[in-house]
Amino acid sequence: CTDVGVEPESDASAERVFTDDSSYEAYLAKLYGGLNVTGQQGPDGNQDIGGIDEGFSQYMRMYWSLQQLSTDEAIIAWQDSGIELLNTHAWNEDNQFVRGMYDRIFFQVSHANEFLRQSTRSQLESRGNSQQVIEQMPQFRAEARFLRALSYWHGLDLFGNIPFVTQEFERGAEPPEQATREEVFNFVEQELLAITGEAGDTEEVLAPIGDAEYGRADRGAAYMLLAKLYQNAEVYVGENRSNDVADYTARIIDSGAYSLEEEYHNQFLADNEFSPEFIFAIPHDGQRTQHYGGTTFLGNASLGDQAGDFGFTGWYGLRTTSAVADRYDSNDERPVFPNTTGNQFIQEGRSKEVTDIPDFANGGGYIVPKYQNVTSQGEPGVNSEFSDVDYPMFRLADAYLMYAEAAVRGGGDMSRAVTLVNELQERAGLPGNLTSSDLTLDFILDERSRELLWEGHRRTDLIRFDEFTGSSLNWPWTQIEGFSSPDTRKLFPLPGSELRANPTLEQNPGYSGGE
Amino acid sequence: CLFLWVGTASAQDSQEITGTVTDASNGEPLPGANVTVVGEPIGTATNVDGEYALDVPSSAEMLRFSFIGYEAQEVPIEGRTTIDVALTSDASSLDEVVVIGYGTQEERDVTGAVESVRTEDFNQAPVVSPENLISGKVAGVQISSGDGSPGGGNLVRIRGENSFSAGNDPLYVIDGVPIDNGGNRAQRNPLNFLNPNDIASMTVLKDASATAIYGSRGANGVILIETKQAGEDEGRITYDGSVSTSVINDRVSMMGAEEYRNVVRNDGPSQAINQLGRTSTDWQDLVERQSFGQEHSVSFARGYEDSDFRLSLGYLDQEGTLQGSSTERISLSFNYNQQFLDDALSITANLRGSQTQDQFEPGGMVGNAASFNPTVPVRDFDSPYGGFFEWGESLAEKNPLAQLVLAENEGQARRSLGNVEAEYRIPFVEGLSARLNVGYDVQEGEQVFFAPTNLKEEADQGEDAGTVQRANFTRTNSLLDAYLTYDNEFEEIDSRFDITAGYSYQDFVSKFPEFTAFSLDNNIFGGSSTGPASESQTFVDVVPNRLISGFGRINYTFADRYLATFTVRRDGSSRFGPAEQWGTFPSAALGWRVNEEPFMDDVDFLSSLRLRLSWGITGNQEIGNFGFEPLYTPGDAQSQVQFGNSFITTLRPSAADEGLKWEEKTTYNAGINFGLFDERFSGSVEVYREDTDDLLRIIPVAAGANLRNRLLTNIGEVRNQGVETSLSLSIFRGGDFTWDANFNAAYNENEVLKVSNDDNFEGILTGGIAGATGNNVQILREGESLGTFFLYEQSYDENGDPIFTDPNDTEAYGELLNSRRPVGNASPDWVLGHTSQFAYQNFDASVSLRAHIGNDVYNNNASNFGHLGRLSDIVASNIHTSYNETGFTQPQYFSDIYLEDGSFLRLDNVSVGYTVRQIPGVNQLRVYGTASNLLTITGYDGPDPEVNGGIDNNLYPRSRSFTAGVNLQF
Repeated sequence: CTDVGVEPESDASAERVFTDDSSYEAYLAKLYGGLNVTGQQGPDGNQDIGGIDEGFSQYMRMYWSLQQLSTDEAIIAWQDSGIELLNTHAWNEDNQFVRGMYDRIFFQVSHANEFLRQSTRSQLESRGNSQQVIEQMPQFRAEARFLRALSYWHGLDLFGNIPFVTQEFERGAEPPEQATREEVFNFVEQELLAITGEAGDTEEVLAPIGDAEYGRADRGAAYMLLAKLYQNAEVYVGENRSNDVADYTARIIDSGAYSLEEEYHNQFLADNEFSPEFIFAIPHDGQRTQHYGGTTFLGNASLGDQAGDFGFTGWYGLRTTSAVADRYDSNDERPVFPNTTGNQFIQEGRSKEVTDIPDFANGGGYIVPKYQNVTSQGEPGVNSEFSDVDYPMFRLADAYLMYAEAAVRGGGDMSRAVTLVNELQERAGLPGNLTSSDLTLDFILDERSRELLWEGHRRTDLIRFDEFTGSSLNWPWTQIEGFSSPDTRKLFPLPGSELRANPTLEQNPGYSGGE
Repeated sequence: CLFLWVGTASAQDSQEITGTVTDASNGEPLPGANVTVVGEPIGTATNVDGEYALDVPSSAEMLRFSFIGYEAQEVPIEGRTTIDVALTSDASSLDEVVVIGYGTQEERDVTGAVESVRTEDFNQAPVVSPENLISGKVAGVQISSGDGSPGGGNLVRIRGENSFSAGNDPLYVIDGVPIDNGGNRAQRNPLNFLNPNDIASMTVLKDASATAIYGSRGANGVILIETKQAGEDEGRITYDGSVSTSVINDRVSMMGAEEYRNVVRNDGPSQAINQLGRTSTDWQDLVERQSFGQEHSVSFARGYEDSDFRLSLGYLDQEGTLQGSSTERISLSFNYNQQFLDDALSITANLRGSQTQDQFEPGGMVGNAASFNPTVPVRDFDSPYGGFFEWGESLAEKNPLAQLVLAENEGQARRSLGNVEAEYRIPFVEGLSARLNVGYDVQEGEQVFFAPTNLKEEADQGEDAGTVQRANFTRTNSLLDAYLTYDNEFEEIDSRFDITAGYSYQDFVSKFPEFTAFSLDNNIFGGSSTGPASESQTFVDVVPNRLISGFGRINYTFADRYLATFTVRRDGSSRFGPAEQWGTFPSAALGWRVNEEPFMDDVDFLSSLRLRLSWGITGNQEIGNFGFEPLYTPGDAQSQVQFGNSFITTLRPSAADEGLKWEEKTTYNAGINFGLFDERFSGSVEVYREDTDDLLRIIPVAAGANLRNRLLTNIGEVRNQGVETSLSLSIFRGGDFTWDANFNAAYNENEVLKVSNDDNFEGILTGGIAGATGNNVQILREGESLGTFFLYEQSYDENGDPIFTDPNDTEAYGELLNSRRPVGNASPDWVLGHTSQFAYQNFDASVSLRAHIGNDVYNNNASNFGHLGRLSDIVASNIHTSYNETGFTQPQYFSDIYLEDGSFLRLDNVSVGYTVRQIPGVNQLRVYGTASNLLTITGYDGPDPEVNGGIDNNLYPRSRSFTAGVNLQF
């Protein structure tokens, strides 16, 4: 006997796997799962990406950490290597959270590409897959392209010029080349136009707006992503695309597929799935989608010994700063601070100012139990360790505010903007009597913070309003007098590990290895 | 052999025989030599003048004369009444046969770096794991127990570490069957299935000339274990029994209750003051105990004209010095030899089986015992947590005794290993034999874990509280070796050839079905029922792999002085892709027996001198399976994805490097063996360099290029070079007293030559520590050795007190972090061993010492627990006494203040025995007492400087033990 070959048993090759029709949906599910779980075993085990604690490595946990901990909205008590440097704008190219986010983004891109390689019509035919699978594949492929576009958007937003690969690239070949932010921008734009059927070829398109199963992307999600891209086009490519923002957010608003949730807080509770306001959400389930990121992280980390009241166990980490606490009107029902009715007890003994970052219990800063693992009926989630709260990535209120901002910036209709903002105000228990003169850019930025607090938008917003760096915002949490962050902090560095693995890449200015 | 025994003379129909026993080399009388009647339990010893007198039954035919360090002689009586005998020294053991893998060789012909340790030289402590039998005995072989747990795993390193990720454990070959080193969760050390009493010898193959015959598995060295065979014994029953007790040496230096109270009252935040209790609890003391152990082993061996067999039964029960931990083993072994066809065909069967039962101390108990607030009580009768005191906060540390009492964690493993070997001397061709070896190794077992709903960490999970977990495993390994040997001498060309060529096929399958059930309604059924569970998780993994090989060896001797060995093995492994599946591993060695040269005839003091040179390539393939192919792995039921109202089980392909191949080690070795004064002093010196190339490492991949950000690939290079020396001395030999000693010393230098393709690569951080996640204190960097620490230099004020830098002060602390530099490393430069064996009349004694020099230890207990920040943690917890010196208010994990020299000298064993004479019906009775780990001399402040990997963190403490035992031969 000289046959050394042995067939794997608990794993299988692509050829074996894809003869089964259900494998395509299973792999597509993994592409969505890349935003959600961290490996093939929940809550941890058989990790998707390496070089980082699996709990840390959850997509939204890292995205949220980069988007929020670097701003006035959130600080964290922990001393896990590098996390405190997000609070203090002192991250460098070896920061594990920066690297982890980057790796997660390209995990998504690589697998979307692999899905596209494995699901071509000729592949399906040669494997003898059923007609049904062949027919549903174009939409599956459009969804893979949406998820790839989503991660590329995160990539260009956080990192600027990034490596660029599509399914045309051969797996395992030479390192990919770096594309400019503009090139990636154009690619994402073209992809989204294509899969919403706007670019002529209508073969691979998403389900019509509002038609997708919960948890999957339809054209509504793609419109929202396009609008996000256009909203920040000034930052990304130096163009004001407010008209396009207004156009695409209006399509969402006008579609009738979504409506505002009556009770603001219900969007962040254990039974928030199928919320009429959600355009694209990441469904969490305490039993079936276990991990230590997403709203499990957000809920647990934002609570200490009071966690049991909110269906969590408490990790003693996140608080907010006085800047946020002071931003709300005393009648505003959205925050969970002492200046509102209810929930006051949880701030007992806490100072509004952060006095000691590593000390959750006594170091000050209001806690923000926005994500609660309790249903709107007051029942706890199925599991106190893992959250049932779905993560609202895109929701209608954001589209309203994007429309309003576009109007202020010269796209869209101002009076409609006023109506939309007043709808949100009224839901927040405020009079809702704002007029167009109230809709200033400053108001929009603050209103976004009030409405979308801790939903992962703050860093991008601050950069768009040019308040992320310099000394224009007086960061109440840096504890360093005269703190002023250099403009180079608007981008995170390409990870040191990546520069070594792909020496053709150029580092962002201001970082080691960059200019 | 150390046993001096003299039987009784039963004088019936008998006559007296007298005589003198002398040393053949100088004619001096040998006092204390044994004289026995072959086949009868009758014997005596010579007196101071070497004279003896013995009543011998008239039926007796033969007398046997033996003495330590001399070759025994059997002399026919042939009616004489006076028999004088001159014994020849055999201290050199030059004519001993050593096992070399697919054969044996006379020790004097060996060209490679091979060292054998036999039963009589084994460590005598209560040894649970076979590796410990030769700890400190072989130069260049570091054997350190992983910790102090009963039957715990060992770190075994032959000539340092070669590999980043493919493992550094040697290959073990038991009676010709290479075994799988894989661990399992049901026992602490899978090698424990072997009863040390059944082992006849352990042979360490160090250089490539010796290991290349094991090809792709030889890179970390090979340990050949041969079990005892019956030989010519005529129905001997042997019983070995011992009882032992152990106490913990030292513990983590935490504050006592009073000291802690003072610190809290003076410097603590209000939280800590509020959490002060009224009691004084020494948690570490409460989780420890004086432990007891016993071991019994009975064997029966019998030889017949054409066959022989040995049967042995062993039982061992060893408690751990931490509450709740123990190991128990029942073992059975059977060896059988049968000759057929006028000895042309011989068949050997070895069969052994054992069952081990391990009780595991709860995870985290050591750390929690060190850390838990010393002022709170053990019990709190209002507590919902089984009546144990616990903090309300969910992330607070847990009461170590509650875990101990309430949770259950045990494993049971069964293993059987056997082989049948047939050797057939082919007629008509002199010296040609065919051999067939068929072997198997089957292991299976189960770990059972149960945590009741009222255990704090379970109770905190609300409805999910309560866990039952059962993790099973089955590993099977089947082997077929077929080979020819040709051994013949050709006087006309003054040459001798010993040729081996063969084929080997080995198949492995490992299966790991596991399930976890949780959310229990009640705790009534413990780990034995999932009835009360409303949730569960399951997991199955089945992993096959295969190795097919062809191998050959030529030993050539010219003029009885010039030796040459060539070996080659070609291995095919399922672990590599089609392009790299096969690898060839050659070696060559030359030897020169200088003392056989005519020009050495006049050099009288030199009794042997052999020079050796070798070169060879070996491999390492312990990398897991299918890294060359992107395989799809299904997700489990807890990592699904919600589509609409349904949950989808996902599929994910892995990253793959199609070109994955073997790690390759090239070894150069030069050695000298020498013997002086008739081998009274003998020894060896080895000099080696070992370069391991194509080292596998998981490295970052260019983003988007593969299916994962990290990929296992061949990238690194490591060099080990060093010197080893062994020396055996008969220091004193005369009167009733002998003193034999063995010294060994090994110096090894390890250097990482390459870790990346990037010249500017500064290395990767390794060596994770306890205290926040993702903090590393070691670095893998080119030019440094493996296990190099990476820390900043602690600065001190004018009083010599360390200066504290607040981690909140981003700039200053960041600067400090940037000043981290390589400093010290975890591996010893020198590993030294010494054994002395004494005999005086019927007494025998031995002492063994072991030392490591130049290893550094990072005291993670001190860095994690030794600061005031402990008091403002989620709950205030105990403080390491290093705080008294540092006064640190927050952790300073990366300060070199925590790095200490871990050099040590350890008195491993002291043993004293007495052999009782003249008990009717008993051939030999020896009683002995052994003290192990009696004394350690070190400058290290922590509990124990022997910390594998160099990071001292919540180690199961090692203990000092005392054993009393008896050896009986009927």
